[in-house]
Amino acid sequence: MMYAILTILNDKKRYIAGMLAVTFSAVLIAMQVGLLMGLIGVVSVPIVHSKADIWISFPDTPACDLGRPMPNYWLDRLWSHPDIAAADEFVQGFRYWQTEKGKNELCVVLGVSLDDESLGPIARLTPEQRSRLTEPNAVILDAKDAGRLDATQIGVEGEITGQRVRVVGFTDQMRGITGPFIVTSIPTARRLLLMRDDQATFLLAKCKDPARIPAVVADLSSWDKWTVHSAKEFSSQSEWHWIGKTKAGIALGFAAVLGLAIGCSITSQTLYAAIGASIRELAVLRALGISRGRMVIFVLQQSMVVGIVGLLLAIPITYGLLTLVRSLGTQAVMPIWLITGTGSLTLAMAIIAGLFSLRSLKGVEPAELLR
Amino acid sequence: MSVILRGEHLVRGFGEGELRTLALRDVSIELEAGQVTVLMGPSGSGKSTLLAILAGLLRPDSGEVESMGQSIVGMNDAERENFRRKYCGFVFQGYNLFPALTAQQQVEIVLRWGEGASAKEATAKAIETLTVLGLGEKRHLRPWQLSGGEKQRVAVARALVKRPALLFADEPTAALDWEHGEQVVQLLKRGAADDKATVLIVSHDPRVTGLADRVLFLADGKISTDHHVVDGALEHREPAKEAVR
Ligand SMILES: Nc1ncnc2c1ncn2[C@@H]1O[C@H](COP(=O)(O)OP(=O)(O)OP(=O)(O)O)[C@@H](O)[C@H]1O
Ligand SMILES: [Mg+2]
Repeated sequence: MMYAILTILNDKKRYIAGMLAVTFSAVLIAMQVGLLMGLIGVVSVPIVHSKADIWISFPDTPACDLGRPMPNYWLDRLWSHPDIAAADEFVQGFRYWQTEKGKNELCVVLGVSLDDESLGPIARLTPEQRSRLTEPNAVILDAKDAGRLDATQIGVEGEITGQRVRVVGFTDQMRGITGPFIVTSIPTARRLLLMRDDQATFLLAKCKDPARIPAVVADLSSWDKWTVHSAKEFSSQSEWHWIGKTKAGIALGFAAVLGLAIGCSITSQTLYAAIGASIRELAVLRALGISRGRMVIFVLQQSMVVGIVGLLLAIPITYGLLTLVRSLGTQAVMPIWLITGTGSLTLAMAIIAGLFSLRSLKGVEPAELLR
Repeated sequence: MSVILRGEHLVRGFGEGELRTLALRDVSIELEAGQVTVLMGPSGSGKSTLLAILAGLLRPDSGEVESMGQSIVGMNDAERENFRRKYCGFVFQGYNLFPALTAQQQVEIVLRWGEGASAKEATAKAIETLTVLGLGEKRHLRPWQLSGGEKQRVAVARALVKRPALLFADEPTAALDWEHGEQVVQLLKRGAADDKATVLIVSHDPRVTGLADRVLFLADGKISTDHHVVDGALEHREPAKEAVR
């Protein structure tokens, strides 16, 4: 490894292109995935802001914003389940909001229980807001959606399904990708969504012992046709559904592959040229009986050093971009798996680039070079 | 004296069809153990080709090479590589030193990569060899900090460090002035003598011959004359008929 490092140190200018290519690929992949996951993360906002650890839905509901009405007669059964501490219902559906200016916006109506024991997504609501929502047709919006709905002040009205609704407060971190969230009480939501009293979109449950969640999920699943998810599963299932549905995954994969391909070709060109520059020295060593395999190791060591330095450079750049993006109000996440994943992927890319550059060793023929 | 390297009826051509040139046409040669043999001849006469074949770097089209009691023509690539690693040292015309490495590292790398020697062992041997060649003080310098003669001495150290039984040098003095050229050949000769190595030097530099035990002339792909060197003067070699055949 020492000879590889010395070689790179001695000719930094030559190797810098390869290192920057690795940096480029790493930053591209990490930021893209981070931005997409941040964006897609809002899909599971209702799950995140709810205390429920079990979600029961219409069969095969792919994501938590795509629930369909199901009967709520299970609620009593849930309450009496020995492992379940509390049960609740949650009503959700799409409706157009007609603004005061006559504009129509597709929104998500969320009907939540408003008492303290509620398992609905009420974490962002103050107790005062919850009590105001008990009034019929009172709604709360995310402040960032207010402009879009022409409802920037408390008291402004809009129309949903021909019924007037009134804004009684604003909250934050309650936005989805499909449309603005309209938070309201369960009775109001049922009216707006034309849902019967014996229906809900999701049944929610909280387990007494979190360790029992998988067992309870299995038990409830056996009761009937309704799909039972743990909150955690349902949230990642919802996110992956949207990644697939929006084809964002494909776009992302494409961009990542492109980034890797560009990074790989630049890195391998760099290494190829660098090895080419030392070809006569290597040929002397070949003459002295040193195997081609040993030279392969030398090249791969160089590609690894290039990869590692490139990755180290990528860390502050990614961090800087992340800070910038967040200061601009965009969600971006950088979980550990993304950091390690990007690291391994780009390092693998650098090594593959090294493998591609091995053809430079073909020319290491003492009898040809050293006449 | 015992023959340590024998080439018989060596033929080697390059190119195809009309462009084909015969670099060697039926060359036979014997190198005696511990002797310094200089191979001379005009440019393009096939000296480098012959050296490469005798050293196991190149295969002849036909003919036999017996070196250290083994036939190296029939060996596969890995076997020849092994053979060269065990027995052969090389000095070429250019210095061919890694720009990134110090003199000492250039020499160490041969042992580290070739024999998997430990860092400690390689360092000790490299310093020893460089000191013998008068480069002990300069062992931490990189090629750009060394003069041409010093660089070629590093190249000689690289060839000698594993104490090869056979030492091949292809125009080791071409880039050097008279004084340094002679010095390098002296060192080659002395280093080889210390290890009782057999040396083949290719050169069309007549100044090198004074230092040789024996001088062969190659012209047009054939060995034309064979001389012993006595007191720096060339003397026709008696058993030439046998050796040259
Ligand atoms: N790889 C090759 N391809 C084609 N022709 C070659 C090759 N190697 C050598 N030759 C030819 O073989 C002949 C002998 O070449 P060689 O290098 O052995 O000469 P030389 O005696 O070492 O010359 P010089 O003193 O100039 O180094 C030349 O005519 C050369 O053009
Ligand atoms: Mg030559």
